[in-house]
Amino acid sequence: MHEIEIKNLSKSFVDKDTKVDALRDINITVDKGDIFGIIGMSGAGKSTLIRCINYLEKPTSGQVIVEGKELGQLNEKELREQRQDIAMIFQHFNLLQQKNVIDNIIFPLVLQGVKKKEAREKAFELLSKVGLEDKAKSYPSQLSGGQQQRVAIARALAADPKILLCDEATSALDPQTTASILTLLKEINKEYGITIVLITHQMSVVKAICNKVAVLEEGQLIESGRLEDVNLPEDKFFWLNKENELKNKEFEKAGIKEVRNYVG
Amino acid sequence: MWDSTTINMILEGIVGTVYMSIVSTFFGYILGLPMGVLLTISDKNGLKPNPVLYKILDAISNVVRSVPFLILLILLIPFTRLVVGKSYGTTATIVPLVISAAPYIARMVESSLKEVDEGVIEAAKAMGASNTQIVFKVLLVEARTSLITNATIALGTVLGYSAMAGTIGGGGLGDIAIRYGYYRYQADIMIVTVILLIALFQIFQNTGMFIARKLNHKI
Repeated sequence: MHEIEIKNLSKSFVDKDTKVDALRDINITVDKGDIFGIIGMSGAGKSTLIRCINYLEKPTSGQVIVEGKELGQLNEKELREQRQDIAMIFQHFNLLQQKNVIDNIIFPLVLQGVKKKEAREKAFELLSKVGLEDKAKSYPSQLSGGQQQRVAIARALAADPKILLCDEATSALDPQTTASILTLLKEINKEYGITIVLITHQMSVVKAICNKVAVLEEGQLIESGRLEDVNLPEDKFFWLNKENELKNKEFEKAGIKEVRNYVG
Repeated sequence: MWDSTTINMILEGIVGTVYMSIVSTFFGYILGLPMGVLLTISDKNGLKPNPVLYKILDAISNVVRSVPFLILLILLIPFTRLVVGKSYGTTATIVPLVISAAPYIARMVESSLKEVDEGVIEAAKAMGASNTQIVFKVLLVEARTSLITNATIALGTVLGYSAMAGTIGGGGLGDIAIRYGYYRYQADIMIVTVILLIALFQIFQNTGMFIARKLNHKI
């Protein structure tokens, strides 16, 4: 059995009379223990695709099967229970600003009705795992981006998930911090056997930790497979350059000369 | 300068005004907070969009807010009599104050809750939170500072309205200002009551802002 199976998935957004096909006929299988990278430039449909895996976005057609259960068949309550097995971290961390680090980490456990004392023990354990023992009482606004993402990772692990979804988790971080977060993700994958699905537009991220990769372009999967079998562009900044190219075309149309993205 | 009767009257006025403002704001929130929460979740981008419910609440809130308070005060006299048994005095004034404050409070609650970061709500959903959990454990907690700041504004507004109720025998400082200062041309009493109203407003404002600041952890 595959850990995650996406079958003939399509998603379109309808707004008044315009219809946008965000994803077209996507087929992906992710096995237990994989670190699966989905790469593409912005607007390719990566965010929508990763949100289909926990049904934050409901596909227009097709199936998402997680741990043998088809998410479309589950009712509201069953879906919420299934989501406890699928943790998620985000580009902008999405921590509760009014709660300190420990209360953020125990949050998923509190939602599940776990006793506070028990939850806190677990949280301190995870906090030392992500290397922030001394920040238990700090609030997110007092932490750096990298530290906030570590807290978010600890929070994601609190409910013992089987799968971790990473939505551009390192895109807001500098290269050193990115590297340390990626190392942490790899450790988690090894130590807890958690399957990771990540989306990114950074080739370096995929090359650093993924064993499988899928390339998404304009809502369609153009390639997917084991990292060594997939033809990825040599140029490290391929996607970024491509994005720039497109942007420049748009800007040209609008009469603006040239715009560059600077890579950190 | 003044005899003890006048001083006692003014002291009673202070108590009356504080009583009306605080009790009315409290009951205003009992009605307005759930109404604001419902407005937030039933809106088209809310947790559980419900156009019909939203339209109804929206209409109630707009209609009540567009009736001038003084007119509402008079319109509600029969209802006030039904609830408290009389239509004058501080307790009676609480009824129209609550009715006029609730929709206004609901709107402020709605705007506070809509300020909560979408990403945090999404994160909670991804953890398997139910809508009820999102309301109580995410929205109301994350919006805490803004809710308290707005409650302070509401209290100040209710204080001002309570003084207005003085024109029809509402009790409190506003009542004294109108009866003695306006009808009897005792300017000194009017000035004192106005100064006391300003002082009360400042105390409410500073206390509210202090609590909001203390509880805020977002810089």
